[in-house]
Amino acid sequence: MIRIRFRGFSTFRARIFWSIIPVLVALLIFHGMMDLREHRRLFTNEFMRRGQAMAGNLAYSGELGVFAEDRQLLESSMRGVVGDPDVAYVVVYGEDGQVLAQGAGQNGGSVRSEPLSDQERQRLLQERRSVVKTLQGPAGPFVEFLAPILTEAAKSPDELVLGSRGPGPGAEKRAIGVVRLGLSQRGIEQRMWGLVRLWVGVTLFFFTLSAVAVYFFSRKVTGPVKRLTEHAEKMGRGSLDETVPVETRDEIGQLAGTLNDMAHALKGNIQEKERILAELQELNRTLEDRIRQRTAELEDRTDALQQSLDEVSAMGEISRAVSSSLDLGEVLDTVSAHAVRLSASDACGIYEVDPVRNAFVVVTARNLSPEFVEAIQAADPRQGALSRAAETRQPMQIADLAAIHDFPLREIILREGLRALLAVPIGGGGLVRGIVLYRRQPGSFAERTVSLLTTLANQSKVAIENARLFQEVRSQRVQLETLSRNMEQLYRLSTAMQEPLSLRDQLARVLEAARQVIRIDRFYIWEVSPEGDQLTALVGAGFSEDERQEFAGIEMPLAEAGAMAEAYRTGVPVAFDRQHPVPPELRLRPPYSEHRGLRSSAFLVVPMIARGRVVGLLTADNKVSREPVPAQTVALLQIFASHAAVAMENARLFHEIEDKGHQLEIASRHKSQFLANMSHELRTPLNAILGYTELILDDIFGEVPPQIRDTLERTRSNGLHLLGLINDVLDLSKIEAGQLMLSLGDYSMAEVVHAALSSLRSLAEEKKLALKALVAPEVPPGKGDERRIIQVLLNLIGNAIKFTEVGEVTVEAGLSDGAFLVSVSDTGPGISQADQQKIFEEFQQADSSSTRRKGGTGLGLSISRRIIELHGGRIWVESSMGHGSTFRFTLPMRVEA
Amino acid sequence: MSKRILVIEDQEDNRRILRYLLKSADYEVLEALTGEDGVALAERERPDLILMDIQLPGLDGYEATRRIKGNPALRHIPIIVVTSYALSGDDVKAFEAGCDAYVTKPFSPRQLLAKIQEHLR
Repeated sequence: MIRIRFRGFSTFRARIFWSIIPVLVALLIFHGMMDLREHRRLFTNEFMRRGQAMAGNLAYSGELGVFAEDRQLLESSMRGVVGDPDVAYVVVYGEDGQVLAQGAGQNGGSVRSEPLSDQERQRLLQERRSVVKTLQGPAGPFVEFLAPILTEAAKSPDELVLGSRGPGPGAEKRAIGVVRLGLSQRGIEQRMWGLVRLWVGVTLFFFTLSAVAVYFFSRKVTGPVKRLTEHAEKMGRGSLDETVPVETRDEIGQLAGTLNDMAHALKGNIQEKERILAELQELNRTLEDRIRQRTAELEDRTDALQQSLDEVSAMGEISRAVSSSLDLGEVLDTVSAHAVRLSASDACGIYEVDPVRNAFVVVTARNLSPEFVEAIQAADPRQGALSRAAETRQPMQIADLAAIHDFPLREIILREGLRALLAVPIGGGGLVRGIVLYRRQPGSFAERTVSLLTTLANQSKVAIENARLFQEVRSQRVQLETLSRNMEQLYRLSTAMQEPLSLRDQLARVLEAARQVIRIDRFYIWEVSPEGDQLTALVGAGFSEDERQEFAGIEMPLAEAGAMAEAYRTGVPVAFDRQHPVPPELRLRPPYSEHRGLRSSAFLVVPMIARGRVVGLLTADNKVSREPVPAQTVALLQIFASHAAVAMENARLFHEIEDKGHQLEIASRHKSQFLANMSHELRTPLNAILGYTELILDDIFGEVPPQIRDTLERTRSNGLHLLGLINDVLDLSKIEAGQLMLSLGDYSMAEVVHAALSSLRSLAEEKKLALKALVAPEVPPGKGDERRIIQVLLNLIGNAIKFTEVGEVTVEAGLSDGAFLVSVSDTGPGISQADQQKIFEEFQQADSSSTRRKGGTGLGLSISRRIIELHGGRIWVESSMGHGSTFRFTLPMRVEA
Repeated sequence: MSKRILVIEDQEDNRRILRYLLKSADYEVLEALTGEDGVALAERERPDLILMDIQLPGLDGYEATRRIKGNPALRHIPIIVVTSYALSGDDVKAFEAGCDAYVTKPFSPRQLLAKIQEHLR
């Protein structure tokens, strides 16, 4: 299909086309124009000639008519002219210019009937030449031919008709009329238009023809070029297999040939390139493969490295946690945190199985609810995955709990929203223990994860063991300290409280605490009788109620006690377990061996030694777990036993002392009572003696002769002395019994001094001694036991008078440092430095000989000192031999009970 | 009319000494040997003053004092406790029982008379 697309001059064909066509068009137009112009000239010439001919003809033919002035004749000669389509009008004028005849043309020409102008007539007639002029008529342009009608000197119309025709040479002619012929030029125009149309048609035809020719020519010219172009485009697109047909030998043909050569060369080139490219691609692919392979390898290695790193860092962190702290909780927390992270789990628990209680112990729970923990602890551990894992010593996993139905703990775990689990045993110590990891999404734990967790578990084992050991040691130490404190408390209790059960209670409490710390199933303390022949069950811990009742108050002869007797005898602990069974000679004998509670295959007897004597036996056994008692526990228990032994011994001693004290107290009460009774009994007769003597001396029975009076005075004096002795002994006994009580009351120091002086004034007067008193006026009222203070003053002043032969005795009372300061000075012999130390002690006088000389029990100063001290005061003496003595005492002004 | 003094005392010697002493001072002396007798005699005789021993057979001096002082009719009679009970606290017990004065044996006859006269005024 030929499709002309106007693409401007973009294509070669269009360029050919559009460069030829304008030239062609211009040529055609130019040729047409020229042609038309020529035709027009020809037409006009013909028109003019025809007009002139017609006018001439008419003039010729009209010669006769004009001559004859025959209108009809004229009109008939005009008829042929009028029928001509180009004739607009015909007018025939006479010689005078008058219209002789006229006729109108067919094509609407109007008749110009006006007479011919004289000028025109003159010119025509005289010159006898035709005149042509162009006029513009209403029906378009037309040409007017004026031709004179000539006649050859004919004088009559007959001549004319008969005469010779044509002017002969030299014949005189004359104008007899004028023919006026109007020819419309419309005919010419019409013919011209016809020509134009023809020309246009021819032009168009040729144009079309030439256009087609040009098109095909251009096509013919551009076709191979286009083919070449297409081919080149194809080549450009890479299709080099087609060759361009070489149709001509011209430039295009050469071009095609060149193109083919080029294509060939290109093809070769491209093939080479493709080959190289293929090679390159191959190389590339290989390289990519290698890179991919290497990348995969690297990724694998990176993963492995990352995992190793994780592992190492986990282990490192665990190690750090362990080394930085031996806190078991922290270690377990670290282990569980890493286990969760390394295995990408959601929750984790570290469990142990308590073989004695047969129960799970949740050591650590991570992301597990308290309800879950509680449920797990209540579950039977033999049914758990951990027990199975521990049995096989291999990790065990359940990919989807929902899918299996024979796992007893399934419901508990599913309820927690967990689907998959991995149990990794942590070996060692014969204990079922391990990490259990949980995931919310079902799915197997990868082999790698399992092995990683196994490594972690193995690492953790040591860490946990260390931490546990440390914790155990620490808690044992703490507990030991607690035990010691308990012991101290026990000791204090047993000594401070007179509560016989306190020791037993306290021991029971301590034993229970010890049992929980030291991991011993049962404890018992046996008391050894002081005679060392009997054992009495004292207290126990870890016993069932039945066992407790069976044990309560059991007594057995030591000789029958087997291993316990051995421990008592040797004073060192004895231990037995399954590896070291009890030898037959150390077994319990009937009937004691029949006590089920007493039988145990793994037990330890620790003698409780206090003050070199075995006061009791501590037995510890693992009747339930049957585990041997570890060596460190034995050491711990020995310490414990020695503490308990001291407590027991102390308690025993205390009870002994308490008993003795009690007896002493009773004895003391008896003594006081005895002394009170005795003094009463002694004083009653003495009172009677003194009373009668005084009655006599008061002259109640009449005048007493001087000699008798003197004797009676001596009787009275000795009686009073005896009474004083009795009173002193009584006071001292009361002081010693702690029964000397102060009767506190208000007193006046001045009155106290005065009372003492007035009692002794007569005695001083007898010895001619001056007795002085100096009481400071400002002393305030005191509070104390007035009678006892007077007693002290009596004692001090009495002594002063007693030991002073010449001089004076002075009593001074005043204030010093907010207390009373009282002094009694004498001018006696003085007291030696050595004696000053002794005189305040019981039954001491400065000079023992003076006792006999001066009388007195030597108790006075001792009693005085006690009285002053009871008041919170102090008594002392200042003296030097030969310079008298001064006794001073201080006394708080207000003594409160 | 001389004042009447009731002496409640189980000890013969003491009664005699007091009897001599009081009679020498023109007092009428009533004597009782036990606490019960003393209380009964006091109710019957309404003495002007009572000298009371503490250690008496049966009803002791404290209780006898308490009974006499518990009797509104006898409450006004001064009671002087005369005792050889010299242990500490005895005087307090005596005063608690209601006695008016306290004299320990051995007493000075003159001092005792002075005290009696003081309470009879």
